[in-house]
Amino acid sequence: MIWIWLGGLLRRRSGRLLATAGGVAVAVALVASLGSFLAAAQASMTARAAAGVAVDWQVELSKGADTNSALATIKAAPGVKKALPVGYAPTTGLQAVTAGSTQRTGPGVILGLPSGYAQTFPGQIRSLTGSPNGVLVAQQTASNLHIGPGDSLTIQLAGSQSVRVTVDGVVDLPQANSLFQTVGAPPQSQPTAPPDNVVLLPAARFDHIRSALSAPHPDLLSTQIHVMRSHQLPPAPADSFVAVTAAAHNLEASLAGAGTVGDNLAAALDAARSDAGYSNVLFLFLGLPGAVLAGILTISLARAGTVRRRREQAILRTRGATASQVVRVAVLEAGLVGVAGGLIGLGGAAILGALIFGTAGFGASTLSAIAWPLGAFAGGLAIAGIAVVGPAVGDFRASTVASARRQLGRVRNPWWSRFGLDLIALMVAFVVFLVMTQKGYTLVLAPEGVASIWVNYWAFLGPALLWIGAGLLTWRLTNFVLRRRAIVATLIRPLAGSLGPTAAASMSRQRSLMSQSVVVLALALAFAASTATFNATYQQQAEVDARLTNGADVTATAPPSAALGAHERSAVSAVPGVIAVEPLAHRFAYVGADLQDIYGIHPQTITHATSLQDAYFQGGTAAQMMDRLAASPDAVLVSAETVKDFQLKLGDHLTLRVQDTTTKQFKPVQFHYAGIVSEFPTAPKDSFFVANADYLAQQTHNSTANILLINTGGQNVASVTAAVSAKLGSSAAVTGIDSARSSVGSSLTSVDLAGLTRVELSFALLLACSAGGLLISLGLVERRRTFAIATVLGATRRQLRGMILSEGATITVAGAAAGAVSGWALTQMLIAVLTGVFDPPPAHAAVPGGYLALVLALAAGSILAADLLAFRARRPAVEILREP
Amino acid sequence: MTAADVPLIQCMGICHTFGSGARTVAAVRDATLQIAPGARIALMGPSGSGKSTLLHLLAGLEKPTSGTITGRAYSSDAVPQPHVTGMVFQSSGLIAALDVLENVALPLILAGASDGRARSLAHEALELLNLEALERKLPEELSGGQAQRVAIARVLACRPRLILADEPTGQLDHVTALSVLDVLLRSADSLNAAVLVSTHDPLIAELLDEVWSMHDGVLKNSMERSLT
Repeated sequence: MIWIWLGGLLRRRSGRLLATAGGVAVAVALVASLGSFLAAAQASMTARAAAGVAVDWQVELSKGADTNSALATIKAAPGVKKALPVGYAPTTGLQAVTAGSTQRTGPGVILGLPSGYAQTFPGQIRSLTGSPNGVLVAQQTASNLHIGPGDSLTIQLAGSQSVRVTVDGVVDLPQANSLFQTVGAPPQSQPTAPPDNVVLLPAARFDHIRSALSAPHPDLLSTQIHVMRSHQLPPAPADSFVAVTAAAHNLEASLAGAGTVGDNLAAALDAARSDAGYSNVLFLFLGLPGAVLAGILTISLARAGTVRRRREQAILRTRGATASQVVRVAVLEAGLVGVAGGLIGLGGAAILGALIFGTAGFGASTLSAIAWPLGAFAGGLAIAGIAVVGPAVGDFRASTVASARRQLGRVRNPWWSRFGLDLIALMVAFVVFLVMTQKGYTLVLAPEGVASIWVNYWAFLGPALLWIGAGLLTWRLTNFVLRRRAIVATLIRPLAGSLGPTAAASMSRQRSLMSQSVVVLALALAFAASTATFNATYQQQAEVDARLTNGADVTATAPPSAALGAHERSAVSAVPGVIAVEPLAHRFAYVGADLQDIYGIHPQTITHATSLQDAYFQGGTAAQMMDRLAASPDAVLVSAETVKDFQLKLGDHLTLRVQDTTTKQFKPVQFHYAGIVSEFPTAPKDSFFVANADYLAQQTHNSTANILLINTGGQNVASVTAAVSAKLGSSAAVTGIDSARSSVGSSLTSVDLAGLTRVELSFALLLACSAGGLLISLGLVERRRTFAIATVLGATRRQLRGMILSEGATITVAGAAAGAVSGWALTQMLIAVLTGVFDPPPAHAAVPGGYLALVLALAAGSILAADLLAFRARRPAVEILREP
Repeated sequence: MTAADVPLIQCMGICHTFGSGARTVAAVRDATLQIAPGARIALMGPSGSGKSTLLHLLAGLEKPTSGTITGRAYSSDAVPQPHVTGMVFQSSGLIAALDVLENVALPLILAGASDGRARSLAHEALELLNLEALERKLPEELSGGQAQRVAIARVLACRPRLILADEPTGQLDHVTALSVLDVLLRSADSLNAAVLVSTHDPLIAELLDEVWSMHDGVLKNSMERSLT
């Protein structure tokens, strides 16, 4: 009997089965795609974090330790691929004579590099001019001394000794912070600033310095073993961090006190851990609602056939079918729908992966590429079970054969409506939102050096309750409006004409089904709107972050002691593609004993070359802060930390000590505290000052700039960067925003949403269209008898079309309105909850109007198409009326 | 011949086939008939004999494959005149989402009456059949007999000249069936409308003035008999 029934289902109800399987397919494809993508994203975070490290470990040898023995131990350690010894020695100053003028610097550091060091650790040294080997001078040092390849340089050592060398090349040290780190410093301690003056010597030349210092000052010499490890790491950054940290501890144990590991690799993985935490959270916030929505859609599609299923069940029961047989029929149907939908979904996910990422597994590891699809397939089976078996069993238990005749029943308010659950959910969601927008809220916390990550799972309550509350409130409001037949009749009169009251009455009686369609459409649109807006806002902030990091489209940066004067500025202005050039004076200033960066700017013209976000400042907009600076020459913007440390109030005098160029001495200068600055183009993440360039120049007797912000209008960045670099030579480092875009990818904002966006937006579009079109078309199929009756009663094609379209239009308008409001609220909630993903936090959400208009148009189009197709595909009325 | 003598429907050699080629099924073969105003006709025949198809052809719900249909119920270009003919189906054919009053008013609204006017006429029709107490009920809340009475009221509300009833009592028990037919005939009397009822039940057929029979698509009636 079961197989006969199943055969009949396949032959006669293939449309309904296919639609339900389609819903399952969307859920499976979404979970499989997002899961695989995020697994791949985590693995790529690990790989990117590891690839960004120039030297994985810097093992500082203890005084008196035998270098060769330690080197042998290190090389024998598991995972170590290469290890080279590097000597460190201090210099009391450097001196060079150029063009008859003697230039001197303060203290610095001399490194002794073994041959092949640059090739073994290519990320450590970047050759700028001259030879990449031999005696190399750091760019800032070369600039300070006005020297280049071929020039002589005197290295002064403690004890009045000196060594004279000839410079072979000028280099950049991109990872100077880690190169000159204090190995063994406690995890929470402040990082030490790298030295201003650095000379790199071949090991043989360094041995002269070692010899010169070893007798009088052996304590000044130190040796590090720089280590390259295998980057075959566990895919998740957290697991990799634990593995690398454990390996470092193991090595320290093996060295038995002979050395301490400076673990650069673990530090990079440590930073990537919170990104990975955010990626998991993003999956839950952005992916899970889509999967749940697809599940709801599937259940709604299955429910669209409730009346027919009840009748069929009644027939089965009158023929003597037992409860277990009815359940087995339902289980078989669910299995059929689940397996078919699951396979279609997995196929769709593979195609999507191949189209977007070039691989069916989204680049995930083999395990992830299998685990996520398997999990998604199981989820699909569960959805099919809930959608098909649940109602079938429920109907069997609850209804009699006689009650199976019922098609509508009197609509009663559901239990949650009587208790106001929708309003309670929304209120609690709002409270959660308020809590999350308070200062100090953190969603993901990965304390430095601690293996475990803490995720604030309470934060999930806000969006979850908002989803639930928005859906239930939409149901309540739709139900409320549809009960007002006169209003609905008036609203649909343009479409339904004189049938308006009748169509309104029909909709009112079917308001339960209508409300369900509106809710599903509204949630699908809200999903599309919130996801798209969140992603667009993320992209906006990533761009802001890139601009903040680089300063402008193109930025030329000379060392603080060097200058980019009017000559350089006019040369840069003449480069084709340059729209505006804005000079910045970067100096240093003491506040108390704390040395901070200070930026001298022209507040009225700085926005010609870069953009300033309101989020960079506290207590006012960007424009207001620039106005405050412009209004008062001695105004200064201060970081919040400094304001707190020094108990500053607006208008307070603030004495900073800045270096006078003429005397080379730091002297006190009076400023007025005018506001708080948190971020500023090119400025560091920690504390700094922003002041008027003219006032700073007047006080320091130095009017030159050392940073040029260059506006190219976002165009031809690479070519302008190259051209400006050629113009300025080695006097300044020139960087384009393109390189900043890729570098911010390894910071907190590294969760690469580009791929996630494409996957999600595709599914959001699919869900919105399915929610509209499929629900309407299935609903119309179920009501074809109604239209057949209307036809035999004399309804014209125009009247029938009016009745069908008025229902579709009501669902579209109500769904779009509720979707827009819910989408807006969800976007605000997502931005608040996931604020840690944004760096800097957004001043406003970026609304992708084009995409949202497309989603709305396609959803409305699919509803209209379903209406028209149902109308066109009508079988002869008498044939439908003959059906049992 | 006065206008009153003109038959409501006159069919000459109408045929209707379904399908094509080897699968062609002739549901009605060369039927010739005429229905005069006030006629009371029973159409008998086994299932599948073509009774329903013939009624659908007469109601204009299907077009004959060949032959002509004319008469007062049809316009000069062979299109059924709106609401001259009313049809009662085997199942009540009520729209589940509309209550009884709205169901009865629907054909009037479709014909262009205002909502208020349609409801008023529908109310009158329901009163005529003593169904006004059911006005606010949904079809699923009615018994089979009540639903069929409402379907009759829906036809009466349009004041047709010819009522075609396709096995209107087919799904009812005998007592209810007789009661429903009684209502139908009394209503037709009040409108002076002709009635053609298809039925299996000889007892029902006995209540009507004339009995036609159909077998395998071939109609046997007084006209056919007189022609033979």
